Amino acid sequence: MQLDHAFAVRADPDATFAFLLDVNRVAGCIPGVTGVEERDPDTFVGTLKVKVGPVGITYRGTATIVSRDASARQATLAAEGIEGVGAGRVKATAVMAVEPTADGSSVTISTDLAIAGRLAGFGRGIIDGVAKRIVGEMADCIRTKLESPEAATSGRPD
Amino acid sequence: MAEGLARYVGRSVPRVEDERLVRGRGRYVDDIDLPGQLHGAFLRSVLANARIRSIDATAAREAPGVRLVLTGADLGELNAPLPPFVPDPNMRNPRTQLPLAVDRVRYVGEAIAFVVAADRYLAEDAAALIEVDYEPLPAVVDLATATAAEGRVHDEVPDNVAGDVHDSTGDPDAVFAAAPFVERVHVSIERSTASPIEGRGINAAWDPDAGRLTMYASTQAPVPLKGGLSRLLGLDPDRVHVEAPDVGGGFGSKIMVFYPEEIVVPYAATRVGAPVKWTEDRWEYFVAANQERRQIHDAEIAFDAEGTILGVRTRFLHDGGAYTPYGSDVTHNTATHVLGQYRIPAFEISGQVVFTNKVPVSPYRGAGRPQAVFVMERLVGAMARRLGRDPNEIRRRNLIPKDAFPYETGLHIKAPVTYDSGNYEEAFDEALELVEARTFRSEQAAAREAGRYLGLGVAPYIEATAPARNEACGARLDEGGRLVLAMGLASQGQGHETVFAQIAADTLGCGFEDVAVRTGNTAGEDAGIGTFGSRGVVMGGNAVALAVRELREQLVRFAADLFEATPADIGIADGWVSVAGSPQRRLRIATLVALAGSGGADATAEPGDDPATFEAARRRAAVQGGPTTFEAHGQADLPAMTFASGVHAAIVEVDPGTGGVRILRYVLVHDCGRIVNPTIVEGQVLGGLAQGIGGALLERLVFDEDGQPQTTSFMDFRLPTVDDIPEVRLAHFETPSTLNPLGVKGTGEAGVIPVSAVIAEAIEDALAPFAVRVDSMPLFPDEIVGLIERARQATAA
Repeated sequence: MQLDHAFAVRADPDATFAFLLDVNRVAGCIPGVTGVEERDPDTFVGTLKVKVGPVGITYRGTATIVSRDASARQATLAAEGIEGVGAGRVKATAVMAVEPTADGSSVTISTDLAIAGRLAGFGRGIIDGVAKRIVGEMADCIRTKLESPEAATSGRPD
Repeated sequence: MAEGLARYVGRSVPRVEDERLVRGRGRYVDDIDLPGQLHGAFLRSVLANARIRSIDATAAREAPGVRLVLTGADLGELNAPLPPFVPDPNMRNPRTQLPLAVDRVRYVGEAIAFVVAADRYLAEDAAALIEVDYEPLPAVVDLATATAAEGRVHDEVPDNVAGDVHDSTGDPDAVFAAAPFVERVHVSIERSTASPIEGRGINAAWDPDAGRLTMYASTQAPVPLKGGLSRLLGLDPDRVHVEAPDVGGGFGSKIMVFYPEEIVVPYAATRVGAPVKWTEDRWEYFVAANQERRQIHDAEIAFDAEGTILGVRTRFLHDGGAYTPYGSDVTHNTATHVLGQYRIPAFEISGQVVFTNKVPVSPYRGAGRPQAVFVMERLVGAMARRLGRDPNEIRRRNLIPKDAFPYETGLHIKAPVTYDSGNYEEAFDEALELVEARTFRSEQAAAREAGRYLGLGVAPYIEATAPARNEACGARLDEGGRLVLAMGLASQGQGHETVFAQIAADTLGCGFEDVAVRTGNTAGEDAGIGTFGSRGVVMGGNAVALAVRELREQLVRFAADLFEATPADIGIADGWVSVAGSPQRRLRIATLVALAGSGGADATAEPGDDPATFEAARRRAAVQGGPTTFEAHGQADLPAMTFASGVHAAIVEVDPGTGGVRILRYVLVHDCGRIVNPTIVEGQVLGGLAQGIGGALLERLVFDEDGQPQTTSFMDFRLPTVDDIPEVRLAHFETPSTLNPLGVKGTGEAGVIPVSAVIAEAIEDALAPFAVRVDSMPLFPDEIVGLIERARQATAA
């Protein structure tokens, strides 16, 4: 399924793009992600814990930055995970792009997500809601870390 | 005999089952709790096509509350390919699944293991602990490319073709070569699912002392389940009892015989020595209960300038899913229903049943027929466009006339296809009248002036009903003189208890309320097959009539003896037995049964019995001795199918901006031969219409490129609700079947068959200013907007 999300950050587009590709920093901003280890500069392993309604699932998996274009501020990330308990799996390709805006950056994440297993049964409506929540929390965290103190006190854009 | 069916048959007797069903007092499988019962959960494949390297159930076996874990290996010899529902010579590669997959899975949802635990929660938690090591294989998902796909559903079938269906009549090659006009269409129909309110479910109990298995199942076919279970589990048939209690809808999806669950759950019960219950949840229904409808046709029609159809040809692909338990059954229906009500001298159909990595396909209400009508009517539409004529004028011109019956189509699929009776022209005229076709063009023009887009769609259809020739009924008079019918034929809410009681009451001459009907229970009667193919009233109804007629003869002979009259002079009506010419000489049926049971000794007269007749009869009964019982068995053996028919017509409004479709008028003219209960027939056809509207405008099963089902809840698969159902103008025709004594034809599937064709034509007509072509179903609003957009671009270019 195709999921599209966007959020705004009051920070320099290049700094925002750099932050998004700094896995050690951005991982700390994604709710449920733990134990991230770097295999090589573009490949990381870790676990992602998600809760969908009554179902909590932990995926073990790999994320790879398959392409990055600093001048266009666009990168593609491929991730694949299998359930720690149970037989489900998840596959995602996410294209992240940062565009400059009047007061900072606009981040768009376009994800092609394939889910097998218990989560698949929830369907697009629910999964999109969960993804929105995850991206929303990630955006809040990124803003906290990137936005200047004076920007933070003037209220965060949503 | 038919002339005697007057008091109840043909009347809308209120359904006796509704007292409990409507008040929520039905008893469904999940309502049945047995002492000491355990609960089961299946582990199902999460991949559409994969080798299984290993299955490790160690942790599951040790999990809390777990009593039994079954993998394919634990089933031993039982884990052999399940029997096909019907052996089929057209299948070059017939395949059925194992009860539990061992080293290969072929669709998401295929059962791999079964866990029995103290409750369902513990069973599901333990099932999640089973580790399956999959090696994913490329999935075969798209029907259009499946025969040339990289993946293989079955390794030894490189082109993924399971079987072929072919038939023809006349000389299509010559006709098409010489025809003045030929038009072609490419048509695509998506996969759908029956969605009964109640999913499947089983509660199986094993009595180790008696060596007896009792299984309650939400099924359309308890009798074949019983036979199969006794064979597969090696149990004496007398020690297997299968009962379908109230069943919350089936629509074809509950007659598979065997689903894996139907063998694994009872087997588990024999292993744990306690009842095991498994209730399907909705996700399981979406991934593991059979589906249908996906076909792609390339069809052509040959015709002359006057609008006479000369020939039809179609080549098609049929999505069979991962296994083919029903062989080419659905495609046979498609092949026999394309011609419909038209007299067409040349016809050829050839199709392939294709494996895909999806849930297996078996008949779903309509079962290959909606696709056939869709193809035919899209062809008629193309022909009308080419000739610049009204499609209804073309339809009317080509209908089989009333005097042509029995009408031989020349097709020979399974058996010669011969329509028994029909009155197509009058029904067609009636449909056009009811939908106000004559004034519609001015209505349409006025609406367009006001910026509204209305369209008319019409489709006649036939339905071959009542396949599989046998069904049986046991009839007896109980001690109170009540007529008790026992039938294996199961009801899924159709109203069997009412309809069969109507037929029985009229056949015997007793009151409707004096008949009790027990259905779906193999303890009372275990001959017969099941409820499918619109066969219930034809097979079951005629079995009832035969059994009760025999019973009536027994009662007449007994009464003649007691009344010292000839049997020909004995009449039975309204529960009274009397002698012709002297109506005062009468006794109640119950009185005669009492006299028969005791040899007259314990019998007392019922209110209204003639005292003198009673005394005389009692003396005769004492002389005669006894006891005499009244019991009969009726077996309907009807080799030829009956052909019901009808015409649907609709006026729809399409919003070209949003793609929204609203049905303004819907007309349904319907002929299922003699009608036993008009209200029940109406309920059947309206229910079918609702499912047809779902199939045309709302429902689609979506799979991603890996074969993952994307529509596994009612949030993603939209069922029609009351808001989607228009007001319906309904008309009944009664053209009796000549093939059975009751003159009945089936009606269970009729309502669904032409709906997609009608809606497609109506949408196309509404959007005629945009020159839109509709060649696929279902159509969602965004697709309608897309059609308009593409038509605009084509016009611009």
